[in-house]
Amino acid sequence: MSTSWATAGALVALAAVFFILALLYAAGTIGFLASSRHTHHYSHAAVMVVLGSLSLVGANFLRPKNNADF
Amino acid sequence: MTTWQAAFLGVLQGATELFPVSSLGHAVVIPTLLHWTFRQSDPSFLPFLVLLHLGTAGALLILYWADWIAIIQGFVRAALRGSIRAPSERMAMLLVVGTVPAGIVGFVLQKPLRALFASPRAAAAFLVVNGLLLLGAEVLRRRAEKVAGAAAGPGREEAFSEVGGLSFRAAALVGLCQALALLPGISRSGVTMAGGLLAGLRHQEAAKFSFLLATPIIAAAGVLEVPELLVPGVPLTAYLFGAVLAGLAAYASARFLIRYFRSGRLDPYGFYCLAAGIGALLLLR
Repeated sequence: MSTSWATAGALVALAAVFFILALLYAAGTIGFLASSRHTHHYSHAAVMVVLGSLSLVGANFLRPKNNADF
Repeated sequence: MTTWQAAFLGVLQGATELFPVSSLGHAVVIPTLLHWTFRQSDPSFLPFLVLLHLGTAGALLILYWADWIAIIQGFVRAALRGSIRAPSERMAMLLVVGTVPAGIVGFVLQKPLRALFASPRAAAAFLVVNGLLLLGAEVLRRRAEKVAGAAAGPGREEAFSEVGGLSFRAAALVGLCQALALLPGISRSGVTMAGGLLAGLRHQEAAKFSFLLATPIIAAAGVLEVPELLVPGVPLTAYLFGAVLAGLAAYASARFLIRYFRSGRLDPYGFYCLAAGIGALLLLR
């Protein structure tokens, strides 16, 4: 797997975007891609948290390391 | 919806979810053919179907509990370390790569897809497409067997790989195939197995990867949809009864299919989907 600080940094930035979106969904500030019946979109916030966490995992994989991968 | 209708749909969904014949397609088409009076456009119908799927996911968790413990531990280890050093860690990351495409497509297209659940004709048409996909996958597989010089009979599977040998690119391909299954009538297990076969997996291994992939995506759908059931007027007890029956039927189906795919192919299910889809389209005219 090719690694670079630039790609890892981009994934960290993406994670930050997902976490901000999670906060906005939970606060009810945005309703994009959600039904309009509820003010707070906690399920959408949960999905954003999962995507943000996966982005951080991806960044951890893509940062340059000395370890040999499987 | 009555308790018995929920129970019938539970058994139907559980039995058809893991068979590559589209449980959603059946759950949308059959009530219309039986002239049941509840509306599939009802806001609680899709969450009800997701609840049935959660019953199925529970059955798969029980069936593969040892694998799931190793996969979860492997995911945590690999995620913290930032590298893969064990087969269980690799399997965990393959499942993540295979799950993300369908998760994102389902999340983004949640509203337009919901409209398709109210259309039994669309589900019947996609059932025909599903049959063609399954038959097409087996045609390509037979070509691959000739190229690989595979032996005739059940021994032909030896020429193909196990799940551990799957590349991350192939796992992403299977994940993209899984996104197709958000359309009612396209079988999730069918398209992921077809994707697994195209990636060079043995039939039984493709089935196992498909069953493992089912659990996270169904759990994610549950997080999104099941809260919609927690409103007054929804027959929650009947729905839960259906979900339990779905789990029991799914467990029996999975045990059967694991044995079947030691030497069996997707062809019978492809022909069934073609016949069922065309028949339903004629009856729904």
